Amino acid sequence: MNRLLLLIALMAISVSAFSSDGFYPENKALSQLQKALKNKDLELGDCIDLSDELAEGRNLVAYRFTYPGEAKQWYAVFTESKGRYEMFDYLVVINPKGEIETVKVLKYRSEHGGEIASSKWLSQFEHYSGGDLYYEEEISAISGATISAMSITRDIPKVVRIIQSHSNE
Amino acid sequence: MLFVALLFISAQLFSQNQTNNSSALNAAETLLNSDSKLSIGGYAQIDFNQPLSDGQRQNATLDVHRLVLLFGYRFGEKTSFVSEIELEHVQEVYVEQAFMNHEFLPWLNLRGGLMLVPMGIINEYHEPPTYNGVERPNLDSKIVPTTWREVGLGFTGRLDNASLKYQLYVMNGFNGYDGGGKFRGSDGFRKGRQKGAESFMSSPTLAARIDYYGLPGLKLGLSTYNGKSQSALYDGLADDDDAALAMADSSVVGINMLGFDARYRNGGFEARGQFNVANISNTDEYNDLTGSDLGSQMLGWYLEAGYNILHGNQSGQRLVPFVRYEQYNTHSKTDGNLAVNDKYNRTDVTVGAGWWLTTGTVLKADYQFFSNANDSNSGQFNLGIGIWF
Repeated sequence: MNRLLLLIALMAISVSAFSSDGFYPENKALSQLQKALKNKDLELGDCIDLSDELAEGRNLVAYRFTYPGEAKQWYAVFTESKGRYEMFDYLVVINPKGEIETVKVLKYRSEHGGEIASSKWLSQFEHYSGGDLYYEEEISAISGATISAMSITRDIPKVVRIIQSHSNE
Repeated sequence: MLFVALLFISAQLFSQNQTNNSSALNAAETLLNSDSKLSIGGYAQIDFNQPLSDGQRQNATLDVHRLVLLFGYRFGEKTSFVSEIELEHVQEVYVEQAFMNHEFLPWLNLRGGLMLVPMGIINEYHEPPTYNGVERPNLDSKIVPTTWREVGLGFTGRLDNASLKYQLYVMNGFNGYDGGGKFRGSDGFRKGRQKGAESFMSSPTLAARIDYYGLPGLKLGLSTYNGKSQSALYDGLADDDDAALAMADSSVVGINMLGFDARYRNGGFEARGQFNVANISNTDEYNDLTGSDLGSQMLGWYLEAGYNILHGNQSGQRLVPFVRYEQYNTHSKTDGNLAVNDKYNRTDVTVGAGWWLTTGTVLKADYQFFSNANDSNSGQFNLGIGIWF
């Protein structure tokens, strides 16, 4: 009986280990971050799952990282927003001053709306560190991707607030 | 030992709840977040049209013009299927789209099935909350025969660093002849759309489009469509039957359509415009064979501007008065003995407003002034409800 329970426990560990791969596990996150910042020497620190702080059923995982030889902490935030029908994944890099360094759409799934992955359009979020951020005001419109563009514009300030409050703790 | 094992299982389950957020989701959220999933959506257009002309009474029409239901299924991160089932005027059932998409890379997707021909703005973005006016621009009916879709196969993708999107498809063409001519002077190819319904092909066509969206608020599109129309006369034709081959050759036309379009939004201001020209070869022979009056060139354009007077209001509502000016001539040129028909040289002005209660719900009202080079004038008052979910 004891052996049976031990076996079940081991199986539970295996299943748990398998399913905890989750949203942007370390290897996947690191390769995306290195690609986004064009720096192969970056290494990730600890992973913080902040999905509960969004309280919307969306994933939000953050990794601390530093540039080689520097002590200042940066954040690589992997999260998702909703297009009209499907979620899309993106990376928000937040610098030690709490400002957005860059935003990259990592996976856009729907047939329409992929225009928001444009590097030029996403560059509008760079240097944002708080305050109002409205679609068609601070962020320019993009035809054919209205829902996704409104969605990411609404969600990015929340991401920045969560990381800033976490880094101040 | 038993106690330790149970403790371990509990600890594992607890830690899984802490780290795997999906365990706290409801069924709908789990569906949204899963890799394999079903999407359900749709759009609807419900119209009231009151034609008005001097000295004549006309009844208004009330019509559930379109009700389209979307079903999409994602088989994984790379492969998906999209279908749209359309009920037109309540009674007619069509499949508007039914295609699979497989992503090799964001810039290289293989797409095949019943697809929209990427020509102009409205053919691809035809959900009523995406455009001003109860009715689509008439250019997008008489020259670009929206909703224009055929079975095809090709590639599409995005170049994110260049803010470009491309589409390149080999597609089936219009039915130009199946016992009688389908094309005509008043609305060009409209009656020739095969819509993937037991469609036949005698030669494939090529459709391509590039979108550029690298300038703030601006999107530019360039579309081309090239190929011959299809003819039932080729079916069963003997290789050495020169007379029958000559007749079959007279039953098709060559189509070279070019389109340029632009959409712009800045603050509350919005504008869009489109230009299309279709050069059509072999119309003289086609008209002789079929008794039709198809022109050898169709040309048209429109410009539209509006302003969201609720801009800056964070309620999510939009109230957009607009004006649209259209000129389109399906007899821009004719070939052979066919005289240009001035009735087909048309100018429409549409003035109205749309009130978006949400991004997917709009109430519309407008008045359209119709005129043509034959000095005929009429008008139409329209009210509409547009839905997209």
